[in-house]
Amino acid sequence: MSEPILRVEDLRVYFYTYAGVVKAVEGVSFEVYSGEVFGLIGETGCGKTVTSRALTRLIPDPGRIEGGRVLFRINSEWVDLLKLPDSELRKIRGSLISYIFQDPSSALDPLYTAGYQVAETIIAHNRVSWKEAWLKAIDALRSVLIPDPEARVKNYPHELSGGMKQRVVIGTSIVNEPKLLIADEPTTNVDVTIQAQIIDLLHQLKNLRRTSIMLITHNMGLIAEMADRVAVMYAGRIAEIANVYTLFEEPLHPYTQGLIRCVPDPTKEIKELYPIPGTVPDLINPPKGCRFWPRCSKAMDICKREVPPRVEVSKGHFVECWLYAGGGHE
Amino acid sequence: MSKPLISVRNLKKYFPVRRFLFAKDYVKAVDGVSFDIYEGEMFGVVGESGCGKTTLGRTILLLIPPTAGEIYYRGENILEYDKEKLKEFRRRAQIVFQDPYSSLDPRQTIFDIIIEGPRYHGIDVGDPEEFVVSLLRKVGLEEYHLYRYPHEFSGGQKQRIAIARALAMNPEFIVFDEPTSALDVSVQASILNMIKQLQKEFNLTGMFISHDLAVVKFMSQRIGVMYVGRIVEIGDSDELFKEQLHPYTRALFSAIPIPNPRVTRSKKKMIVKGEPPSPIHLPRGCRFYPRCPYAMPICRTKEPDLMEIDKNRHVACWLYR
Amino acid sequence: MEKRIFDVFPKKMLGIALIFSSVLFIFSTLLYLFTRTPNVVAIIAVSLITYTNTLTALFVCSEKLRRNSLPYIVLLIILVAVSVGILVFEIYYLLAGKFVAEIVEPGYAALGLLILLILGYFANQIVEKITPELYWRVGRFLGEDYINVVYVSAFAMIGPAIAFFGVTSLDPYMGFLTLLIAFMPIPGKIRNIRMYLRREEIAKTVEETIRKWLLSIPAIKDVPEIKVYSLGPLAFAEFGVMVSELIRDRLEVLGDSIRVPIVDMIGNLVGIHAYLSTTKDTQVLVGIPAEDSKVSSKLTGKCVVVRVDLNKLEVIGTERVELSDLKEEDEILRSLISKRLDALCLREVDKKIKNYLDGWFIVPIQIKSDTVDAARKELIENLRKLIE
Repeated sequence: MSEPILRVEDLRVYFYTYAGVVKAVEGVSFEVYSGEVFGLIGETGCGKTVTSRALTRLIPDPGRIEGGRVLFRINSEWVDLLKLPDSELRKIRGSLISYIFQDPSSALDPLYTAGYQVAETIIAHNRVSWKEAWLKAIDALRSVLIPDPEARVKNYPHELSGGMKQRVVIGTSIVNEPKLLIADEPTTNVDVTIQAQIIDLLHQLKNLRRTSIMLITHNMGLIAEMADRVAVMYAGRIAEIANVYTLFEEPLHPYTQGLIRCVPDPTKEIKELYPIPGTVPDLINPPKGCRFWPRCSKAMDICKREVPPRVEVSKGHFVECWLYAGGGHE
Repeated sequence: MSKPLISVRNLKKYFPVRRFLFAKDYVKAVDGVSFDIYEGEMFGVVGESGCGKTTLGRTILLLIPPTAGEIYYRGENILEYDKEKLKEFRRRAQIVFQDPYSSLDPRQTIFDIIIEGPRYHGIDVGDPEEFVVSLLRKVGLEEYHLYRYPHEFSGGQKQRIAIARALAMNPEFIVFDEPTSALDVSVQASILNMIKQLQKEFNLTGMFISHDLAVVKFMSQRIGVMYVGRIVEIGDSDELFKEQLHPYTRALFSAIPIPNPRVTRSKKKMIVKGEPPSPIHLPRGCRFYPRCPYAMPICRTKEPDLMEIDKNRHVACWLYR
Repeated sequence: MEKRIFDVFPKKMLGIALIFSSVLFIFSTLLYLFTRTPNVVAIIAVSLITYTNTLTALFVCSEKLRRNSLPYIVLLIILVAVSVGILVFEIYYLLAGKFVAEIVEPGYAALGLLILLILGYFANQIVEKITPELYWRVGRFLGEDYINVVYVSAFAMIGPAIAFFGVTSLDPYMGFLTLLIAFMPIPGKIRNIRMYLRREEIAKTVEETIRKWLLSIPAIKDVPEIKVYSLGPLAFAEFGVMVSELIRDRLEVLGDSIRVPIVDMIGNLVGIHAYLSTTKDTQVLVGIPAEDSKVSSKLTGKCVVVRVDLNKLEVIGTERVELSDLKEEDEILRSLISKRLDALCLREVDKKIKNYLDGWFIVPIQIKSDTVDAARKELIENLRKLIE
């Protein structure tokens, strides 16, 4: 049975801007297990990207991590990444926990060859010579299915296609055998046929190396394809966590239900899509109580006053919604 | 069967790229495309980035001058139109762009943006304010939005304004170029519903360009699939989703993740190796040849033309000659 | 039955290139004699160089000349040597100060050089444009020397142009710069000479590539002869291909299907002279889709492959074969090719499968039998009818 490798407890991240304090992440808690793909979905401004960056304290000014714990399991011990000294954290970032971002073009330095960039990551975290690092880099490129890696290591990013660049980025991220790979919209800027190749690649990585993947996206199809468990975020909070089949077949939170119904499923004959009325709230002055209540068809009085607690409706299926927390009436 | 409102025959658009001095190579963005769009239907165009679908949309409306080929509107070749007729065509054929942030002039109010077109064409709209307000209501906005500026609106609202602007011209034909790709899914849903309803209400013919197959299927009756500047298959939306003939269409459709875990995980994925060719140095023969699992010697030699296989199905592939 | 394929780069085009080179050579010589500016000397050398690629192509395209390549190498060495000689001569004269310190008619020199530049540019463009699309790489190759004329003229123009406006002292010394540019194509030509010396080796590699590719088509039984003539950077292929009598009606299509990919595959090929001949003196493999002893109505992974002596029309071997363990249609079809089947028996002929078989020159045989034994007899009958 899988055991958890990451535990996020009550994470809070605020941005102190001229317009006011943006409460981007407001009490987010979840777990990620070893060898699973954990999906984090939500629309613009829901805080999923900020959450993922906060895990290794990659929050730039004017953002600040204002609370919570990020517990990461290293060698059977739990370490709070938020309390680790910078030097220790830097050792983990890029090796035990690594990232893949949305735009491979910006992740790669145009002035250095692909091989150099992978080798550099190896050297940063291991005591090896450049020669050994170079060989490992070729291996890393081979493991991400780049054909003819001995030649590709000498290529500059502009000489590589979009799909290749993304593979190099993935190669850079996995070369130090991370326990947790955080992929932020890894296939958004990439063509569908290349996306399929990358999904296939990530599947193989997960199966071969038992790497946990945290998949952040707004693409419901990608989640359906890849995720084992999913957390749905809305306006800085988690609305629901469930296993992927349950999420699509029996969503409980009204926002999740809305999300599922507004995405067209091409295998079905659909006459009409069901949009969610209203817009995403302003996070400087978010609604009191449940942040979704202004758009919720099932909103009750208590929703407007108090933040709903998290309830485990069935094993592993969590919802933060008054409909399942007794509605405040009982 | 209705007649084609728009007919495109062997349309080409090449962009020159400098090699040295005055020597040029060409990016063949659209390389010989032919299809019909019937009155009252929404014709979807799908393909991956770089396949030329956006260039196609703009060339059909003459926003970009074509390099070769013919475009027929109600049977007349618009490339032979004089200034008067061209102006009339431009009124009747409109476009809604992908990026709501750059397609609206930030220095104009919504009122100005929408009334600009009818004013220029000298269309009598009656009382201008009433006219614009009624349009705004049609696209789900309110009267008090009339004198606001674009930056005061969300992405979804901006797209509504862009659609109202197109409708202000009382067009017959609208090209929708990835109108919801930059929007969140929940907003996308309401815009798509709205476009469908407006299409019925105004009896519009449309061309819906997108890389999102599920959205195109929802919006269109017939779909054309593009690959590196050519159309490789055309068919009815439902039929096309049930069975794809061209190997590229098959690969494309099998690669889209369906938002339904049981279906998408049991689906056999045809993983196509390699990458699309460069549109400057296209290989001889069928452009899908290097990646095609059904490749035959002739595919390397001659490029297949779009052939009518069945009623309502066209394929450009030697497997179906 | 025999069919010939003859595809050669058009000699007419080479004639036009020769005319361009001659015009450039004569014009630059006259210009020098008229203006005596050392800059123009470099152009004489460079225009001589423009003959080299064109002559190479001419020699390769001519049947006699490609077999006996001595005249080619001699001519090439002479051209290169004379060009180098001219350039060295210019260096010597510049250093020895033997060129006139003031040039004659700088205005005409600049104008003449401008004309040469434009001529060179047009030569390059026209040569590329009139090359048939199939040989576009050769076209680029033929045009590239004219680019040197353009560059060298551009540099050469600077001296006389400045002299025209009064500063006359610069001209002879600009000659050094022009020389530098003019020397640039020389290492490439020397490499061509070295390639010529390695011609046997290069030819062998190309022959192997062509042979391997031809044999990947199951219908091609043998490549009894193949000879590639390599002259420097260009080559010509002569070969013969043996196919089974089964496809004697499709030789023309087969010819088309092989000549284009071969010219494409080998970028420096300037022509093909090949013949396709059919034979009965061979064995063919015929597939019968079958589970156990019953013939399947659809093409599945399981197949019985029958080896038939086409001469005697007898079955000489049978084998059970699993075409593909993945059972995907495209996988199964591709394995028909890798198992080198010459024919496939089918109860129902699906149009797509028939087109695929036709595309790979595999003969579809329609049969009615439902047992493998009966099918064997039926297919022999069909083969007999085909090759009568």
